[in-house]
Amino acid sequence: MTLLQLAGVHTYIGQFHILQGVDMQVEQGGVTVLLGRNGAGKTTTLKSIIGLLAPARGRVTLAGQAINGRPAYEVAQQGIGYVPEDRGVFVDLTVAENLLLAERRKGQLAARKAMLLELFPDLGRFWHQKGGRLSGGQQQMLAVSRALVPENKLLLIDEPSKGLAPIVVEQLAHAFNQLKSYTTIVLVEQNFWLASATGDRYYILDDGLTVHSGNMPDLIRDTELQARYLGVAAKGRAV
Amino acid sequence: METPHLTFPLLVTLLLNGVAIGMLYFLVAVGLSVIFGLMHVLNFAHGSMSMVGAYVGLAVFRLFGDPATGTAPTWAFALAILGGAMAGFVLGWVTERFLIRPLYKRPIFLILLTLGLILVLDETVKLIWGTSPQGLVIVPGLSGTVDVLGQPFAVYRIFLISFGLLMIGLTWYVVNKTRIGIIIRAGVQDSDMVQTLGINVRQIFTLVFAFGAALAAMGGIATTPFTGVHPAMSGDFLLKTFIVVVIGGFGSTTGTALGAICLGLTEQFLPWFFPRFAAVGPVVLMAVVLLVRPEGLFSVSGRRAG
Ligand SMILES: Nc1ncnc2c1ncn2[C@@H]1O[C@H](COP(=O)(O)OP(=O)(O)O)[C@@H](O)[C@H]1O
Ligand SMILES: [Mg+2]
Repeated sequence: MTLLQLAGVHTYIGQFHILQGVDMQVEQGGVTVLLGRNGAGKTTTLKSIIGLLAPARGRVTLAGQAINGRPAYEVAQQGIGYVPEDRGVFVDLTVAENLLLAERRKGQLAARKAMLLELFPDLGRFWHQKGGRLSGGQQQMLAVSRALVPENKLLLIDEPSKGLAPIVVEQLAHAFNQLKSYTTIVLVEQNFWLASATGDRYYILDDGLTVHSGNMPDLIRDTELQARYLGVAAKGRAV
Repeated sequence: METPHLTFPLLVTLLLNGVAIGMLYFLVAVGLSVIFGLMHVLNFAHGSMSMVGAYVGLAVFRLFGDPATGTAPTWAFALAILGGAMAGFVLGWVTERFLIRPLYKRPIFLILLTLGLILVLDETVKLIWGTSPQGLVIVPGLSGTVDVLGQPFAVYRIFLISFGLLMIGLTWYVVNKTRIGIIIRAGVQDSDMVQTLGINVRQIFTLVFAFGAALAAMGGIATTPFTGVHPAMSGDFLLKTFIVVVIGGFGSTTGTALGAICLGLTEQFLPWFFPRFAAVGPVVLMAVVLLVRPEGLFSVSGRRAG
């Protein structure tokens, strides 16, 4: 079943025409990786889905329902969790408060706590610490956990590996693979190791356009395609 | 020039006076501070909202008062505070929902809007109540003095301190212990991120604006036994409020409480030690804070709402 679909999405930031026709089709389950060099429009695509930016043209549908043009809080309530590039951890809130904030019904966090702690045991030790006191890796785990508090059909995760130590990137890879049975993930990732270790399908964006898509194993073999659109990032390895 | 000797009982009186005045400043300033922290709107009309609250409060008070003497039963003052607060709440609600909301993406227009609102509110008040100052007689239950270390101390000031502490406590509780408080503190940092968690942050904006104006209105009424009610009070409030918020740090309720008490004490003690600087002291204090610690004396991480 198609969970998320973007059809001819055009998005402006101010007067800049950033997305110039993005097409994507994300099936339910698994990890779809969104690749492309810096400035290709990956973050803008995620923001256009969650509703932080409103596409000027085109359609975004979630499980067949149009969500483009809706305010972000309504889109999120349809069952989308968003983990932004800067992680969006609230630094003056404790870990517990950060997670509580994501509840859409009372008691959701309590029901989910065991699963989160199994996924990221570190969180338990920092439960009552302010978000601002966590390391980058811990903040990333908190940001991903926060998207898991309500029952989201879809997670949008923007470059989680950025600035993190290889060991933490491995933990994330493990977590994302675990989550496959629970939800669908759209993962923006420059770290090709993390993309290969978790991705099932891929899309490549270039200059605000979808230029390629397919199954991840094919891309892993196609070094020429990697070099053309992903540049040096493709050579990077986490370990 | 002979300075009277500053005895210990006098020191305590000044201290209590400073705290009592500080409570008034807290009431008026806390809304401005949180509104700016959360919505990045500098509401220049905040002082005018205090003034409107004071006028409406006075009108309610007079409904139950004796026109000849100007006195009214003690409960009439409670109703005056409540009535003024409700007027402030409605005014704040309408202002955010219908005037400010369409302009969030245009900060310059927002400045013009709230500046324009000063004129509208001030002129409306003059139209309804005239330009001459009007007094509010302290009700029987809050009048008179009590003995503090041999010095007479006004009961009304004790009321102010208790009422102010109650309001500080309530604000602290809401901001730190409730879900709305979590949303406010998170929104001060990044309201877009709060939205993406499925929270309609605009509703919270309206609520914060309304409650901020209601608190300011209460501060307006509570001031009237000292200063009377007059159209110039909106400007007085605005200046004091800015000083408090700069000292305390925008967006922080705890900072606002400390900044307000700090200003109250400065105003009480400065005339004793440096009488020449009594008038400019608070403004100088604000300027120094802006230069040395622009995020506010009492803020920990720049912008916060705790
Ligand atoms: N606020 C903005 N104003 C103008 N241009 C922007 C803004 N944000 C992003 N862009 C531009 O949009 C393009 C796509 O950005 P982005 O979606 O962040 O790329 P990616 O996430 O793929 O690195 C870039 O060329 C970037 O410079
Ligand atoms: Mg990006």
